Amino acid sequence: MASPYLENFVVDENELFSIGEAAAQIKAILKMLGIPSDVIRRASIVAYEAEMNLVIHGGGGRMELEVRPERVKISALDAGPGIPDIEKAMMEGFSTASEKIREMGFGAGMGLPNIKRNSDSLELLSEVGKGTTLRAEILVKQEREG
Amino acid sequence: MLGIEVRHGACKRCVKCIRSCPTQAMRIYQGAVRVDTELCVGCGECIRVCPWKAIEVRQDSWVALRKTPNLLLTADPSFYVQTGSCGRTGSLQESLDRLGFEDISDYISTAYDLAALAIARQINERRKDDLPLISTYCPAVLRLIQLSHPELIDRLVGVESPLEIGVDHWRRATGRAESVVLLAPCPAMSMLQSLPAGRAKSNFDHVIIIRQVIRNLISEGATVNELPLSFERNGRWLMWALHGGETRHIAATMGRPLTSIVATGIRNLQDLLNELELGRLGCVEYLECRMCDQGCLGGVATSESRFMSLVRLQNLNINWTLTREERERLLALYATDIWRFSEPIRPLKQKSLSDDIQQAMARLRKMNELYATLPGIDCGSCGHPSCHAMAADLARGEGEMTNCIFKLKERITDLSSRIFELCARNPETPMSLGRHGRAAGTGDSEHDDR
Repeated sequence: MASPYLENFVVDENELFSIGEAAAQIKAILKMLGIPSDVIRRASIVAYEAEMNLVIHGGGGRMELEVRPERVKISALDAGPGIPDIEKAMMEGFSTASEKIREMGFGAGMGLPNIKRNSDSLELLSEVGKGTTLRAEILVKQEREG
Repeated sequence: MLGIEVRHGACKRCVKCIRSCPTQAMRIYQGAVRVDTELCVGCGECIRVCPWKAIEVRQDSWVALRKTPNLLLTADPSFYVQTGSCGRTGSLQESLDRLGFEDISDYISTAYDLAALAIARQINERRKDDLPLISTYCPAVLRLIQLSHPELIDRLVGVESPLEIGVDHWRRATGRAESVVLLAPCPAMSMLQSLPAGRAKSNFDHVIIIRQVIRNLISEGATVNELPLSFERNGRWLMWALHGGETRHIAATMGRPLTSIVATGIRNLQDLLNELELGRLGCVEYLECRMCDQGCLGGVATSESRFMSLVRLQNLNINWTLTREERERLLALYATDIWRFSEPIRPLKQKSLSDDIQQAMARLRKMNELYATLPGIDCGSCGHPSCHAMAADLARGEGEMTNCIFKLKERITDLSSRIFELCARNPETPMSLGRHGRAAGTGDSEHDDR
């Protein structure tokens, strides 16, 4: 089994205005690798929402991209406050974002549902006071035609 | 076929074009500019930046076409505001009439009304969550989406270029089949003929650029300023040459305001399309996208200042309301489906590092290693549009590292220090050895006391 392609991205919590940079880099890498466009579209949404969560809730953190010919894996790791009730956090419209964040048009409570909708498997581990780790996988099915 | 042509004799290899290309379709390879047909979207940026006029819009021979009998000419709306004074458009159509070209602009203007109606219906029929739709009017934008944003293809409005619809309409209505020439304001419109999207073959048999015709007419003494206006009755279609004109036309057809974003210029377009991909443009219904600043009247193959043509268009007295007869005629035409693409818009193949993902992964690692050693100033003197593009090309096995002048200098520095080192290594000769058989210049040989 050949080794996967790995890349790491640091996401700074103060980068609310340049948000999406890690997601944009992930998209560029997937394009270079010739990943089918539908997979790129879904991976971009997952990466973008995960990056938003890192900035808005996690106090910044790290993102990991792992590409194998059969799947793309995106992880977001932070050492933030953690999620007390994961089931609730997965609900559409539920958000704990601050007033300030909401005023900027973020924190509508669609992030995690959006990630779930666009990934084939989602793993969310969180411990209050310690941090959160999100791992999402998107399977690469070869396109029907070029 | 490409919308541009490189005149290699005039090219000075200054690399300005390859650096300006938004899709990185250009390289200088073995001393000549090469354009990747699959990547060129026809934006005309390279033509704008070339100081040597070595790149032109591809067109047919106007001299030859003028002499061809029974030729029909269809002009992009931007053509009609190329001359005239403020508030008046000179009737270029009448100048063309005198040259013997037949005027089918009635059919074309009807096609623009029809396109506006079809777009309005598609917006109204679409689920709110699947809006905004994106305009397909600018062929460069359409191609950019096929190439760089295939994810957005299902957002493209399914209505053909009204220029094509107009000729279809004329052919069906009159049963005639003569060749039609398109007067194009830019390379992308030229590609409408040579590389059509959404249909197997274009209605246009030839393309001539607007600048060519205008210059020719003026040099022959066309007194365009004094001729009467001929488009007062329906100038709606002319407004499509100006950014925002299409939106205005659609909104007029809908009879309600349309929430539309009008974006022109490559930078705005890239930002806007990225935002749409991230799902940020909720509540927007339509994106009117144009590659050129100001819209088509900013096309690289027009002859007049885009600011002057803008003033002329703005001063036109446009009647946005259709008469009842016009509306009925339009609804009948709508039912014929003449406005639909006959083929689906397909994504264009992305230029990845390899068709095999495994090999692409290996090449991407290689590319990252190579990129880390490059200077990162994107000077273009290697013939690649950026250090990043060079690293990608090298990883694909195209080009030489020493095409980079910085890397070449490093190599020469290495080589010269090696030469210096080799030069210092003299073989021992009787002359270099001292009289008593010891090496000269070792310091103590001169003072041997023993």
